[in-house]
Formats: sequence, C-alpha cells, structure tokens
Amino acid sequence: MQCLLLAVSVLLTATSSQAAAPTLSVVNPPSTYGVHIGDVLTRTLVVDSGGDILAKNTLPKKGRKQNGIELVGVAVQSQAQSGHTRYTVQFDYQVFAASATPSVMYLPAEKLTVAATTVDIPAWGFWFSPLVTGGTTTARKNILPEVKTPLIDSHVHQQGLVVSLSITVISLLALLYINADGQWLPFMGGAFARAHRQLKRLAKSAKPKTAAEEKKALVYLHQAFNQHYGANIFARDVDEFVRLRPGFKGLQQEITQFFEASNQSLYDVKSRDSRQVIAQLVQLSKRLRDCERGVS
Amino acid sequence: MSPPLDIQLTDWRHHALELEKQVNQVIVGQSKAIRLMNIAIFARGHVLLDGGVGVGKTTLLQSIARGIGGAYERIEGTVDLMPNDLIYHTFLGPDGRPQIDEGPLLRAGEDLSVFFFNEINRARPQVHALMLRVMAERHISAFKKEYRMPHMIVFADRNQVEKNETFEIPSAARDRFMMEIPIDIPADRELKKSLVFNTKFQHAEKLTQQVDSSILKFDQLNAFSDRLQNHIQSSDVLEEYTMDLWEATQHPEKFGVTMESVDVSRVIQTGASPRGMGMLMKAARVNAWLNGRDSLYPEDIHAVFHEVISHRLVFNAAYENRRTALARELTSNIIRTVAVPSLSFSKAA
Repeated sequence: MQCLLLAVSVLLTATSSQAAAPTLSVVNPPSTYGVHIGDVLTRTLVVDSGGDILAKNTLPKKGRKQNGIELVGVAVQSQAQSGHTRYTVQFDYQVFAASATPSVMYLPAEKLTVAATTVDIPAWGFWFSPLVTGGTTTARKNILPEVKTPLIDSHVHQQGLVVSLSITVISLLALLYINADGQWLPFMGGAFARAHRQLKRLAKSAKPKTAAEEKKALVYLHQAFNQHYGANIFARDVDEFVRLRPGFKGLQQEITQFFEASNQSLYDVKSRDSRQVIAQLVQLSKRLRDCERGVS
Repeated sequence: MSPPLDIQLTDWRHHALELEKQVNQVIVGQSKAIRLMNIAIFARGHVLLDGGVGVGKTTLLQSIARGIGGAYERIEGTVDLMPNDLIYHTFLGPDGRPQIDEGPLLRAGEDLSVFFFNEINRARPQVHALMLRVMAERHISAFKKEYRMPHMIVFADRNQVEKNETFEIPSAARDRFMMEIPIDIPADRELKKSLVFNTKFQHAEKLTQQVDSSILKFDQLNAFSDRLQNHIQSSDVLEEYTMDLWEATQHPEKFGVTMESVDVSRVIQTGASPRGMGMLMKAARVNAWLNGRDSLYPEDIHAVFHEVISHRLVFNAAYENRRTALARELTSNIIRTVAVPSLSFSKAA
C-alpha cells in the first residue's frame, strides 16, 4: 500500500522556552477522493517528544462523532530511546455522511499535549463520494444497457459464399457460352453460331431431305465463312483464311474437305445423300462455332 | 472408230499438259500465261497479248506453235500496212515479170494454226476490219477462190506504250478476242537473273526447238474442242452465279462491289457482251477439263475471268486512261463480292 507521507514540521507553541520543542510527523490517508460511506480513514501521528511525556488523557475519545465522521479507533505506541521518547498515535475515522452529492469533508483538527506543550493537528480535507447519486429517476438515467451478446465473425464465411456463388455463376455462364445455341450472351451471335442454329433447324424435320435443302445448308455455312473472311471464300483461300483467323487452324483439314464436298454438292451433277450431308454440316458447324467462341 | 470419250479426254489432257510442261521449260516465269494460252487453244479463241517489248512473246508463241503443229505465220503492224498485204504480195520473178504470191494469211492454207499479228494497233482500221472478219469467219475469198483457215488462232500484240501512229482497237473489235493475256516480266529475282545471264535464253530459235513438234494435232483441235465443251457440265447453282457475274459487270453497284479510288457506278458504260460470257464459259470448261473434272466450279470461271472479261468492258471516257488498273481492280472485286452459293438461289430452288 502506497502511502503519501506528508511531513509537517510543526513549530510547537512552547510555554517553556527552555524545553526542547517536540517534532511531529503526520501520515494522512493516501487518497483525497473516492471515499464512500463506511470507509475507514487512518491518520498516523509520530511525535518525538524529547524527554516529555504525552498526556494520554488529552487524546480524543473513541466514539466521538463530528460532522458525519466518527472516531472509531485510537491507538498509542511509545518507544523510548536514549533521552527522548517517540510516540506513534493512530486515529481511525469512519465516514457516515448522508450527502447525496459529492462534497468536501474533513477529518477534524486535533490537539496533543506533550508535557506543557500543545501540538495542533490540522484538519484534513477530502472528497466524499456518495454511493448513490440520486433517486430512482437519477438511477434510471444512469442505467447502462447490457453488453450485447458477442456475435460470431461471419466475414470470412460471407467472403467464401460470395466466391462460391461467383464461381458457380461464372461456370454456368461458361457452360452457357460453350454449349448454348441461342444468342443469350454477348459474343454468342457469331456467324458460325447462327449457321449452326439454322442447320439444326433444317436437320430437325423428319421429312426426307431434298437437294434444295442440302444446298441451303451449304449456303448457311458458306455465308458464315464469307462473313469471317470478309469476302467470298473458295477452296483456294483456305490457307489465307486460317492465317487471318488462327483460331480455326485446328480445323483446317476439315474446312478444306468441306469446300471440296461443297463443290461436289453444288456444282457436280451427281446426287448425294442430302440427309447425311446436312447431318455432317451440323457437326462441322458446331466445331466451327466452338472455334469461333475460342473454346475448341 | 474413235476411242471412247473419256479416253479421248484423258489422252488430250495428257498432251495439253505435256505442251504446257515443255513450254514452261523454255519460257520461264510465264506459267500462268502459258496455262491461259493453252486454255485459249482448246477453247478455240483468239488472244490479245499485252506486254512490253522484249519479254519473250514471240519465242513463247513460236514454242506453242511448234507444239501445236501446223504453220506459224506472222505480220508486223505498221501505219502503212494495207489489207492487201495480208492477202498477197507482188514481186518480180526470175524472168523479170511481175508475179503475185499469197500473203501470210493464205500462204499456209488450211495448215495455218497460229497467226501472230505484232503491234496490231499500229495497223489502220481497214486492216483491223479484215483481220477481225477472218478471225470470226476463218475463211476469205481471194484469187477467185475461197481460202479456209479452220484451225487458225490469232495472237495479236498491242503496243501499249507508244500512242503516236497507233489506232486504238475499238471495243467491238476487242470483243472478238477471247482473252487478253498479260505477259509480264517475271517478278522473281532469280528468274530475272537467269534470263539475263543464262545464255540459253538468248537463242530464241534453239529454245523453240526444245519443244517437241506436234505434241497436239492441230487439225483435230476443233473437233475435240466441241466434244470437250459438250462434255463439261454446269449445275444450276453455277449458271445462276454466272448470271450474277455478268450482271455485276454491267451494274457492279447492285452487288455491293466497290472500288477504292472511283465511284463504281460511274465507271462502267457497258459490261460484258453475250459473246464475252459465252467465251468465258468456253474457257472455264477447258480449265475444268485441265483440272480433271467433268463439272464447272466457280474456280474455273475465276481462273479466266479477268483475262476474258476485262478487255470487253467499256469504261466511261474519263476512266479509259486507267483502264488496265481499273479493270483488274473491278474484276477482282466482282469475284470477291458476288456471293456463291447465294441464298437467293436456294430460295428459288
């Protein structure tokens, strides 16, 4: 326990100028604030009296009440040393104040009598802090809300959820982009995608395929090639086409075969199995569409 | 009894390709022109040659004439050349009396297979008229009798550089020529170096002798050409495409054809003629046959389109000076733009 030692040198009022003046040291309570009702404050007085004797009957009586402060303990110890005596006096005060607001209170001033000399102990002031500052109205104002229940940190889980959902959406879009026939997303309306849709529609009907339908199917694919090439494209242009559109390089052989087959179908007089030709064109257009979308 | 047609076709193709091969060995860097001349021979069309001086036109023609067989005749176009000079010439005989001999057109009679008219645009229009009539009819009356030249093909050269003392061949006359074939200096540097430093190219006669004579039988070409033309088939798609091409030579703007430096709708005065389109198909059929096919493909038309069509196009006067470049651009763009096969055909079908 920390103690604030205040040493006070008291010039004793001496009635006899010949006797050696007693010296006094006062040790007050450590804090001048935060004192509540019922607290016990202790003052310790150390008196070097020379050869004189402390008149113990002049000490204040235990049980004295003064201004809400009761003296609840008086203890004296003496220690004689070569020619002089040291008295250690301890006063215990208990606070019984009824103030509803913080207020300044004092441990009362005391007097000690050593032989014919009176030693004055000054009063010691402190701040009294009431336990309850007011009535229920005030108390209500002072009520603090209960501490909230601590929540589990869901930030990481939220991030995980967002990432998972994002991956799912991207995967779905990728699957859609790769496999869907319709033009549901940007960049899905390429020339070969359109040709593939037209060819699938043409291939769907159960009717026997005619040479005219076969030619129409070839036209769809030729148009797609022309659109990509920016001009009419013929078998002799396949190398140049692949050079301009490297994405189709993997299908160069199939493209060359397509042009050869197309020439036979469109310009040779010999007839071919139109259903089979159209079915082959559907497959080829799908592969070309994949190249067009960069997913082959 | 003649062999079956497919065997004839194969044999003749073998001979035609052999002629090409041998001529390509003596005339370097002209493989495209040689192929086109081969096509013209089998399509029985006359040819206008377009090229500068000293590029080997004469050697080329002599080599081809040797391969075809038959007689080769040549005349130089000059401003004082008269129609009679093609028919006869007069001279004093050993007995000191004037004599008349047949001119280059009649000299070989029916054996004439190649007639080379050098610098035809230096000759007067009267000469053009006679020549064009002979080209069309392949016969002429002289010395009170009918001279026939059924196997003759005319190769004419135009001097495109000089304009003084020249007579431009009118469009109607140009239309009589099946093709105008450019004979350019080879682009390849090594070939050019070879032409300059290899002494074998400086002896035209020796070069010509390297080609086997009579690889083809000139007097059977007409009959075979007819069989060939009848044999090669064209589909309805290709016929529609040909009609589109024809229309595009007349109204290119209808097909979205554009040209870089001029308004295409103002360039053309008259497009290709029916005769020109007929010749285009004849030449295209020969190309299909040379490629071993029985059917016409668009590629066959493209192979000869520029050479058959460009000299027939009549440009508005403002564009005539740039004819060569504009014609090349226009025919190329027509091929690039006119769609085949087109959906309009499919709908019609």
